[in-house]
Amino acid sequence: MTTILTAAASGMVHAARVVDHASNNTANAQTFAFKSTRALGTGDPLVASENGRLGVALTASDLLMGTGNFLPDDNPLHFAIQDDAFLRMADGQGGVVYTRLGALTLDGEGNLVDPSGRFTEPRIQLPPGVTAAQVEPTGEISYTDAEGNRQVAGALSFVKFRNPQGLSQIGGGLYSEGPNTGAIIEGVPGTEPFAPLHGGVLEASNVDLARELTTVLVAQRLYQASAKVFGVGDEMLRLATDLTQ
Amino acid sequence: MIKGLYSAFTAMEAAWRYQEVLANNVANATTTGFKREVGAMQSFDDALLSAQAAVPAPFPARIQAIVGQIGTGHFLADLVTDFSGGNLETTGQELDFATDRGFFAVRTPDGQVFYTRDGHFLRDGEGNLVTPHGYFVLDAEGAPINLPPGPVEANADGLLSVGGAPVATLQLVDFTPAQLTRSGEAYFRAAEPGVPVPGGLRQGVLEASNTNMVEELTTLLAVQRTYQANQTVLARLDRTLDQAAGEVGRLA
Repeated sequence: MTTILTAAASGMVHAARVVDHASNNTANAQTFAFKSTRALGTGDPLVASENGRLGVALTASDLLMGTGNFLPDDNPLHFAIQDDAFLRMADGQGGVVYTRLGALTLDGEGNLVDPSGRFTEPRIQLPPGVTAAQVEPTGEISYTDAEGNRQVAGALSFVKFRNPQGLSQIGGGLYSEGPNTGAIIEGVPGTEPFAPLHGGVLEASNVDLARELTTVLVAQRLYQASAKVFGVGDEMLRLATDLTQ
Repeated sequence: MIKGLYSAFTAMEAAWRYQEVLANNVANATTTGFKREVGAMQSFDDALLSAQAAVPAPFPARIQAIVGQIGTGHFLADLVTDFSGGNLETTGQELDFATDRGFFAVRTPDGQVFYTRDGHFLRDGEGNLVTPHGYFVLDAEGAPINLPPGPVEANADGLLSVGGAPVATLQLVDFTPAQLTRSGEAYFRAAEPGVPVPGGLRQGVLEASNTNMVEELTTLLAVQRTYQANQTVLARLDRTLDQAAGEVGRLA
């Protein structure tokens, strides 16, 4: 008897989820290396009931892994990843997380850290008193020592996933493995199948603002229409119950 | 007069059922590949779905079809799926597909095959092409498709290539409307195998829902009034019967 209300409510819930995704994307339109997400209404043949009219069966959310534009940046420790590889970072609790953001800096002890102070995995520390540290296209960190010679302090570690869309976003531009990420391939940038790093740039957000705003407008109309249907269904129930008075 | 009670009640029930259909159409106005349901005035002929036009009946005729002859309580509740194409939306994602003709085929873990116009596919952890629920997308031979790592390219015939090497051809088959039964919002079950269709695959595009929001909401309001009118009739008849049973012949 309440199927009208159920279907209408599912439309409202779906619209709200779409707006959640769009607002998160919009807020991160200027976040370096941010990957947008999208929410799509999807039918499901296996949850269909006998009369099969339950509204939106599933809101499927996808991580969109398209590479953002590269923006020039004069920090020699900044770089962009040109293919779908990820940089390994320490999560601070003995585990490994992954990021696309190549905005590394040095902390007070000469450790290579990300903007939140996380160490790279493996940790790379520059000796005291060195100058001109920079990231090489292969991921090695080089510097000039006191005698003026170029030295290598270590190499950043990069991985590729069979299915990068299966990663879970855990905030702060970090990702963790999920059940669907599949096999992990380790490699050196510049050696097949890894593209060399692009130094002197940072990857911009891949959010398309025009698309997000269009999505919000459509979702708002869906919400309005579903709310209207809900109201009509409610009114019809009232008429039905009035009969017994 | 008792008969009138039943005809009003039947009309209310029919209006309620149509309202469920409309509510579902509205809720799925953004569901990829959704096909709306409408009340039918006429049955489809036996041509393939790609040759079908949008369901032609204007909405008052459809209300008539559902609610029918209120006087006798008789109604022709015949709901059909409107298979007309939704708008194509460019997403630019390499595993989003739409097809001009026919349906994609997917297989659930328990071996059932369903057909859909929803071409929103993904890779799973093993590289299989799957739907968001994890059901396998089938190739022309009816087998799952395993994609090696790398960018995927598709041509109009459904041939998927990775790095220039052909991998598999997406199954694209068409049916006549009578061969398909709805299974959920965007999926269909087929009684018989479909006819392979040539070409028409588009990559980086999804087919939107074919819900017609203006029409659904207008019909919704019209059906609501039908419901209301019959409720009034029912209430009035009830009062009349009350008078007949309780007041006629009562000694003052």
